[in-house]
Amino acid sequence: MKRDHLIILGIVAALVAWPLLMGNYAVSQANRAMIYALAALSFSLLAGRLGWFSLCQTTFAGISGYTIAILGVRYGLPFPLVVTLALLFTAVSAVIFGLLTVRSRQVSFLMLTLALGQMVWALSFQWVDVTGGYNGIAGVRMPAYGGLNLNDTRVFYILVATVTVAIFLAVWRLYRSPFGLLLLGIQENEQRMRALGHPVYLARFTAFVLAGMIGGVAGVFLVYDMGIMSPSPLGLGHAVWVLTAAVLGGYRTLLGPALGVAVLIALETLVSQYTDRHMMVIGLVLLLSILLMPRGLAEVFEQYFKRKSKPQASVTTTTRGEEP
Amino acid sequence: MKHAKTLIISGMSALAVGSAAHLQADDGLRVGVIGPTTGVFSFFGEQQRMGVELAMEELADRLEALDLEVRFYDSQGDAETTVDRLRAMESRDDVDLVVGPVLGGTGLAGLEWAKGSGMPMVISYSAPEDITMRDRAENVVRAGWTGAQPMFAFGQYVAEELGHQRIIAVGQDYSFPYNQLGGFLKGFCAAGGESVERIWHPTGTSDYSSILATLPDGDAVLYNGAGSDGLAFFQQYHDFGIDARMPLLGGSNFFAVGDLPEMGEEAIGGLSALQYAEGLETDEFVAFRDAFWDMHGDDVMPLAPAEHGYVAFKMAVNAFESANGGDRDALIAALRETEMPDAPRGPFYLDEYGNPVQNIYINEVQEVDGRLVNVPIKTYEEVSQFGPFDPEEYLAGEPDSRDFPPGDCSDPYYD
Amino acid sequence: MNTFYFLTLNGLTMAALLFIMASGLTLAFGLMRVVNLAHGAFYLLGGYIGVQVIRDTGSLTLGILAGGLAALAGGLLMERFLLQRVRGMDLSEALLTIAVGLIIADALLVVYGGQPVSLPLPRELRAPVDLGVMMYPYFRVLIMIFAVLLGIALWLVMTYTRIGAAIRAGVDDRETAMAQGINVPLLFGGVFAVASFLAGIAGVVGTSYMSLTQGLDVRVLMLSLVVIIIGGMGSLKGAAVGALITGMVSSFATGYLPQFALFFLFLPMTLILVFRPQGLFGRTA
Repeated sequence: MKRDHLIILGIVAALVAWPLLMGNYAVSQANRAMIYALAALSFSLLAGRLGWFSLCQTTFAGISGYTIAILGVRYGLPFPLVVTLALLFTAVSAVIFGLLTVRSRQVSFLMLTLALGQMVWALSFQWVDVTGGYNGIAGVRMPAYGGLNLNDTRVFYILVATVTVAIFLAVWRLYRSPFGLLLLGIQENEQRMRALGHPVYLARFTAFVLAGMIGGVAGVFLVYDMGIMSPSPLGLGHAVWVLTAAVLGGYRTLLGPALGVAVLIALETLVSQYTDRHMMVIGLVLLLSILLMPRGLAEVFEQYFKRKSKPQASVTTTTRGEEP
Repeated sequence: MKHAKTLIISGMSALAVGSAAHLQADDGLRVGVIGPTTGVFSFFGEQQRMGVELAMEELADRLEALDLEVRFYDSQGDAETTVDRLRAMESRDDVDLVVGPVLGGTGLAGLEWAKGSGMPMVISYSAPEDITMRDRAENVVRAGWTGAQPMFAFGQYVAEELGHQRIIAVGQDYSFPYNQLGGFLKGFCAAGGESVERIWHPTGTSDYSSILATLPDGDAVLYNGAGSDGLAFFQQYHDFGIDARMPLLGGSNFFAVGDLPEMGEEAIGGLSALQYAEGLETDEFVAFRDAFWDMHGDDVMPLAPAEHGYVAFKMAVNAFESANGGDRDALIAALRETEMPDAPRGPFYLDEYGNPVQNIYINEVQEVDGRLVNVPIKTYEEVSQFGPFDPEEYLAGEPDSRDFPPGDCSDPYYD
Repeated sequence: MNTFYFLTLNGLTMAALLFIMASGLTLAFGLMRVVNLAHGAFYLLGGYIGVQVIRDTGSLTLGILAGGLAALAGGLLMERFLLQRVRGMDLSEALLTIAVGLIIADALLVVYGGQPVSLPLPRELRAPVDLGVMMYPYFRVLIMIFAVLLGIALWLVMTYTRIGAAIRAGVDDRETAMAQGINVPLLFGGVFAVASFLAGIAGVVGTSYMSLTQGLDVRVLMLSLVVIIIGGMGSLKGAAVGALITGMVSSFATGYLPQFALFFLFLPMTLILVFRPQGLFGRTA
């Protein structure tokens, strides 16, 4: 069997086994991990393929979450409608943000997404009439369909896992598609791509909106998981957390973001039992990752396993390590 | 370099194993205390922790008899983290009862979770009124207060004793100040006040010069807010000389002692209202304060969050003893019956909605023994979260918001 | 009309503080293409150390200097030991500054606790001074004077000294500057040090009316970014104009529409992003 398929099988097996073997808290942690893995994926799509570091992916999750909280709790609209509208509204926001940022360069992009993200965050806690301000909006619950209560941790897990795997697979195909290769080309040499006739701005813009949508999906799950929507997921701390996870895991690979999230959550859970200095831990992790492992843990694993197995010439492997 | 990679991989495996390891789940009882010990509001979380630690020491014998253990959790002042910790408490750490949360937003998140889980919860300082009103849950009680609770009396006092008719209310734009002002308005208008004009500013405003520049005229200014916003407002109020025009009254947290040293002498004479005062002279309070100083040093003044944490913990221990163990229904029943006649702040008991009925003090900032403290100059006894209102009538009414209740006391609402 | 003057004066004071805050950031970015996202943390560092020194020594000047030096030390250390290693990789540099900012801010929380801290100003400075039209706190007037002096000083250095010429050369064309024999890496270090120093000074001065708390570092960073996005990254003139626009808009918005104040704060930035992304005085691509 091809190595890629083996890895996929392994992951699916682990995902299936987890709720069967582990306690409730571990399952709820896994839910959180998957939600943030989606956020990290959304970040990595831009960072890995375009070399663009965005600090507003969690903002999209937040916009999605607030739409659900406002329409679902305040206006009592039904679940399927609320989720659809949330994703739609996130898409619109991504389009707007995309138009504002499509022509910037790397570092400007970072600052712009930081500023835009902060603007939305400020709005979320100051527009009290609509968002509930600091206290947020509580009572966000999934419905029960035919006896199956979607709020139950394990049922929720199945839902989240299915969607997460589906999205990761979709992104995998995207990476290997002509569009994905185009993005890499743009990152490498934008002028050349333009000279060859490729629609550079359009490609970037599309990637940005797609990434934003993934963030929106993460937001849907986030708000239903927490039961309450507050300004904090839109804050800079969360954006930096996602960035750190992606850098730690390796944002150039498909699974890197998921790996980074898992490790970071495990690390935080462990550390929080001994000290309160979690922010400093994140800072240190980010620092060390950049200095020692710029390509992330995924790359480290990659090389470790390469040494153990026979060297193979694979057409899908490029020097950028794009395979999972 | 090769070894570095192996190290990283083994390190990670160890991490994975380590984080999956459960706390030893034994038969003993466990209380989880949650508060913001990091983040912007860490001061409140620290206060709660110190109060609980004091209670733990005082009740050491009883704790041993019950085989009861305490664990502290950091909510980071964040709703998401709060829910995650609560989940850990329940599934991983076998906690039987939760003390906290402390802040408004985290309190609401905690309530939401507790409704789903059924875990007995004693909220210490968190003040959103719906926690023990419109959104209440059987298993959640409070050892603290609601935003409006001290303010009914304050409004009355300001109108009757101070004779102010027109108040300019400046405050942070979110629900706690709305609630505070709501209570104030109801008490103020009922006692003969004329009007309150509202000016809301976004939380995190540091420069009030423009607000002060456009401040209308009135008999007094009431500021609803605290922390760095409150401190900045206070200083700028004096910098621009507005104090010569109108006295500055405080919302419940405004003259919180932690900020008093920063405010300095100009704060002396400042009035506010709360169910607690560091300047109390009752035996119970002095004993509490002295014991607190013995344990934590006398440059830390116990404020309301500390006392509320202390009392919440004692309530929990009493409940465990009544229930003879950790059975949830028995615990909840015992908690709901709580009476604390000897609490440091003054006697209180829980009403049928789970909130304390307690003394409210009108506090004045005075210098005592070289320190600035809030000293009670008037006491209103047995005030409930509904103030002078009938609970059902109050609940049937509209909740406080930016523009409600009306700022004009001649509005038909007040009849 | 009184209100109008008042709001104008407030706007100018705010602009002054913003300029002091943002000047360092824009210089560092202009020359080194390093966006120092630890800028807010350096502000906090300078502020806390400055307040501590003022409390211990009673001297305002000493406090301001101490704050500036603390931030300068932080900046130098960060530049020497961390940024050097990822020199040339713009994004890694930016990420490093994020990490350092997190660590510094958390460390400050551990040392100084979560309560807000304000600047112990002597009575005479807090007292209102008669400006003919109205009474205004003396220290705010001083902040404005300080900002103007700083602006003039920076402008003089940039326009009339050799170092200034070297900096401008480096900003325009790094390679050619190096070819001309200008020691660009050394210059980098120097400019970065000065930028950090300015952030630290801003920290002490700003604490006179914005008390130090957790989360302030993010706000300061955001305000500085707004200013330099409007003004154009790398331009001192841009920083001044951006600060002026932001300060005035903020002041009038807070005065007349406090609920939307933050929106109005970000509005100029958004307009610039849409119509002139490089900022008013920034260089195109």
